Amino acid sequence: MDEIVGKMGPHDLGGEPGSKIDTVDHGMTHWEKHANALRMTLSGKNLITVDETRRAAEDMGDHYFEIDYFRRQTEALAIVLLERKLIVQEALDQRMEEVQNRFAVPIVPLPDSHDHDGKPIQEDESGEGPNLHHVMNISMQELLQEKGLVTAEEIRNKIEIFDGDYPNRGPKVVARAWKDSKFRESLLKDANPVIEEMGIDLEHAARVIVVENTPEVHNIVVCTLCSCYPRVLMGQPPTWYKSRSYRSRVVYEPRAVLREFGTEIPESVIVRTHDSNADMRYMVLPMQPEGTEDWSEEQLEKIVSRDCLVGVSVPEGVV
Amino acid sequence: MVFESSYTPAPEALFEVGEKVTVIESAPPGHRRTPAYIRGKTGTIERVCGSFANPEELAYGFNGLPEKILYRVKFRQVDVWPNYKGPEVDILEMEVFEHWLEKG
Repeated sequence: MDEIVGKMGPHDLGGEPGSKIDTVDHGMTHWEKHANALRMTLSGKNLITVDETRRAAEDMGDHYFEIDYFRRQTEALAIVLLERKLIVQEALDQRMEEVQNRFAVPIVPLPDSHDHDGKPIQEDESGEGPNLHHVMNISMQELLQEKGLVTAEEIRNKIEIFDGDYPNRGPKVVARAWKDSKFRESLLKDANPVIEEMGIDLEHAARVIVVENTPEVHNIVVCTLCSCYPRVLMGQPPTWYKSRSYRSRVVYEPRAVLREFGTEIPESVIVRTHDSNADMRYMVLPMQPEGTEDWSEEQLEKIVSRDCLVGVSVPEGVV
Repeated sequence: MVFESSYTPAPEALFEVGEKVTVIESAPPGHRRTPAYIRGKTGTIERVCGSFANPEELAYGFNGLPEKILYRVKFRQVDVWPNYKGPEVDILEMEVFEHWLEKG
């Protein structure tokens, strides 16, 4: 382990000692999807910048790792909206109380005579209502809606596109590149125009660099400072991509990290690690598995997993 | 229809592809996008990404102008981590803004 001098803050993780990576993606709950959609919609409309929310999160000090990713995002968003005077503290506090009360619906107890043959009843409703950060996000959204800055439909659409559309795009691009060598060549040279020619709208948000795996080179992508990721091509990053252990370790022991994902890269192959932390977004073009040469684009898309596009895994062909 | 390139023009770029550069070893306070572990390390320019609003200014609500030139810099892992355990051929690449780089 090499010592690092001048760490900027809790977020500056590259090279820190880290533990084993939980390689399972734990997905997102509804409140997290809402938190994400609100932040993305507001930055897409230039009402805030991602740089401001990053800075607000970094300034949290120890609190940064006391709360999880989406709670951190939520608090950072509130800080920036308050700074920009798009909302005021008093109105936010008041609205949060109102929202909390809206959910305070008492659970009607079942009558004692109601018998389930003596088996315990599993209650689905806890009666606790939404968590504090969800209440905060709902309140921020409502206050911004009342100012005409955002609509409920925009947030709903953002949640839907993150779930239903973004994650399918990367595999489509890869399948096309495998079938069409001219497309592949243009994609590696300058990705944005050829991706948009496919009818995929990158929303001016992502400048994409596609990096190609070959028999000589294996690529793997990380963001040590936050969670930079080509969302419009791949959806929301998996839990592990945002984790402390992945962010800290990939840059100094990529091969050990790859092994934890079940991917062994021979010593003769160069491992090229990309620390993606500024304006470009990276997607890996994996090698097409042998035996799939005659497959259609539709068939090929199905073997391109999200993990292959980050580079922690490689696609498998005929099983 | 003509679609926008991944790269923006950077006619004033100080460094060219293949040139040797070192990341400035300083630790100014404030929001920075240059991770601590790469400061003071030497690599070569892999490509010029273009001109982009300065994130160090955007982070505080300013407009980030004038834009700064952004490069991809390629480092040998063994130059970044003296105790790197993998083969010598392994590479680390990262975007670094021009004002964080010096020649040689």
